Amino acid sequence: MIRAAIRAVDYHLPEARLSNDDLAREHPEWSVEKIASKTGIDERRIAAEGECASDLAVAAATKLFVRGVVQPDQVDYLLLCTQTPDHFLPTTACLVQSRLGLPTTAGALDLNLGCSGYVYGLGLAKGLVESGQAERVLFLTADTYSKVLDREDKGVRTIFGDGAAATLIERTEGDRDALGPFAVGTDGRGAEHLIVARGGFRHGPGGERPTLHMNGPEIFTFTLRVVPPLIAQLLERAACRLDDVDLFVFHQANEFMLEHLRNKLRIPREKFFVGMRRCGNTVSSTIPIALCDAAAEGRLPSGARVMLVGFGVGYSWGATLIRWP
Amino acid sequence: MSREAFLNKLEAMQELAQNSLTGAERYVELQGWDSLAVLAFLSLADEDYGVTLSPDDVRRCNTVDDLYALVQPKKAG
Repeated sequence: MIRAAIRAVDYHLPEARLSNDDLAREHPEWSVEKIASKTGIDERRIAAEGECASDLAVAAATKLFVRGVVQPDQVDYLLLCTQTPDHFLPTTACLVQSRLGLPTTAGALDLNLGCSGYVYGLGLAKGLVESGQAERVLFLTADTYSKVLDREDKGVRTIFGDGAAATLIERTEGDRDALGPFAVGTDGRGAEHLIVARGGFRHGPGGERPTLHMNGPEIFTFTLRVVPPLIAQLLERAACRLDDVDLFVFHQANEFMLEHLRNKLRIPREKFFVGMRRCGNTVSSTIPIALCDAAAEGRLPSGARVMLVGFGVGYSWGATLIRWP
Repeated sequence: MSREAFLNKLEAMQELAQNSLTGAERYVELQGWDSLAVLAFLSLADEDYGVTLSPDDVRRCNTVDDLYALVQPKKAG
């Protein structure tokens, strides 16, 4: 039976670093140390002027090629998840197809999702592979939220960083799911709590730069409400128990929220990965970055069953189970 | 859980001296109260009292005693 499976994951971060010391120098009135102790973030990586989502995505994908995981001409579908595209149009995935030298017979499309985007992209990749539309899907996540952050907004400047990740999903034969099942959800009533309202057409171009608005307490409450039932639903679909999962990798929103969720869900600390100290919240790339870091720390043996959970802007959420390659 | 225990939890959360709160204080005027404190309070309500509050619930409160009322089990009827 045809099964989609993750073959490899890699990531790329831009050069420039924004440390807590930098923020404290810039804003002496911010209690940066206190914030750092809550968020678990020491530094964020910031894309340079003119460095866009496609640039980060290309760099992440190139790492998979250099490692010999796959060659460009073997990729027959490109999915790119971003909320900070280079242009309104064309689709960033089309730009990236050309820059990576992927075949012109490959499909390519963007999906606009944030913190849930990695799980959704894996779901789409599974559909493409298991329906026979593609054999090797290159799934890229890339965002440069730094370009929509208000310098004076403590709540977002301390959390978000830029980055990109590349995941190769390919066709295998097997009896058991190596990717999935999935559980997802959407509630657009939460749109106003995490939004870049300007820059589209609803409010016209206007004079102001598009900036991100985040209502942290609302997002926190939303997360407490949706994540526990989401996980219960996924476990039911997978016919397994919490104990059967080897490692939990949640969207790395901030350490405070993750620690609260871990306690609430009674997940043992050793099975729960937290890793955003060096890069902050990179939106749709947090889960793949965390997967790579967990593997580098020796916490992901081959075949490990990992639960991925994404939640945020939309509101949008999703969870799945993967087998680590 | 008693009112006294609640006050102690809030004191610990805000790093205030133990038994320094009376309940009559306006909570937004507590030392160090900010958006992180709102998060910490939402977390405390969820973890220790099993009550998932919305930020609006907190905003409607005036005093520390109002916050305590929020985490009490809802009376039937």
